[in-house]
Amino acid sequence: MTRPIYADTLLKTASNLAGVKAGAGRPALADLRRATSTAYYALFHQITRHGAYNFLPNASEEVAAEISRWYSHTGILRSAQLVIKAQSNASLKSIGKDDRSAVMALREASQGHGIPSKLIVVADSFQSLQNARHRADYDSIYDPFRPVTLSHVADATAAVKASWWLWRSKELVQVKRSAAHATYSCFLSLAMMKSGGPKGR
Amino acid sequence: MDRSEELNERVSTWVDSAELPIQPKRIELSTFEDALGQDGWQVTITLPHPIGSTWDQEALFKTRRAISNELDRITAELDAGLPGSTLVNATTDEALDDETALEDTPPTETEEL
Repeated sequence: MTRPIYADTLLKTASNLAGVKAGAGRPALADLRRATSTAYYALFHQITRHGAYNFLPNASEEVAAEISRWYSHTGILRSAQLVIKAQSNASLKSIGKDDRSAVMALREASQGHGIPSKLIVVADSFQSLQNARHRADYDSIYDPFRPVTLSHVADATAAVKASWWLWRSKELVQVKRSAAHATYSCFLSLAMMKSGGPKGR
Repeated sequence: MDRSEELNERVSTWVDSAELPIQPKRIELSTFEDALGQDGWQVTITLPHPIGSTWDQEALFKTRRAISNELDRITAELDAGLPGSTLVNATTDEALDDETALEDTPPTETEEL
């Protein structure tokens, strides 16, 4: 039986570990570390799930789960970096030749409306949460402050909501929403390509 | 003054005069290696204690993006760009005791690892 990994469920776990409703009392260091890590994974799984259905819209849950595994953390990071480059004012000429055509594709997908602000939320949050997750999981010098951990959970929640908005935009006829979905779809495709494409396990 | 100090000073000066949604108390610039093994610029912004349990997400996001975009603009101008991501991390030096995790203690000899 296939059991999908839902971002919302992971976000609830992250919130609980970070102590969103905690009263007085010092948090446990391990709880804060796991909260940051879980918040990152909520966004990671949301992107890979959307990526699977972007690749194969009529996929069964079982096949979608398999396709999700084609994505790598570094592949999505590369695609997120391309989104940040595409939203900058940098001319195509000033962008390294390895990234130029991908940036051009993202800008083209936005159909003159600019890179959607919600995609910038997804890309920026992915970059910063991945870095925070590395510090939380591996770094002995980790900021053990609840407000900082809660900000990671808030960032992941906002990014997951933004990704839903982008995903649902495909069902809408408004030109700007349709362009937003096309740009998100381009981001998901680039992430799959940067992950190396289909792979066996 | 090395390149990192010059950048830190330029970004600090900009942050001091910019109207940001959340005003950092100070910033610190460093480099880091991202998951792709690429070096990138990293700015740690030290913020005042939030009103409530954490900072307003949208305000913090806009603050981080504004600083990141300005740093990218300055590094492009000085030809000091790095291949990796530019990151802005928020922290605070005003966390209360109740918000600060207890340090983990090593297991005793009688506990299983």
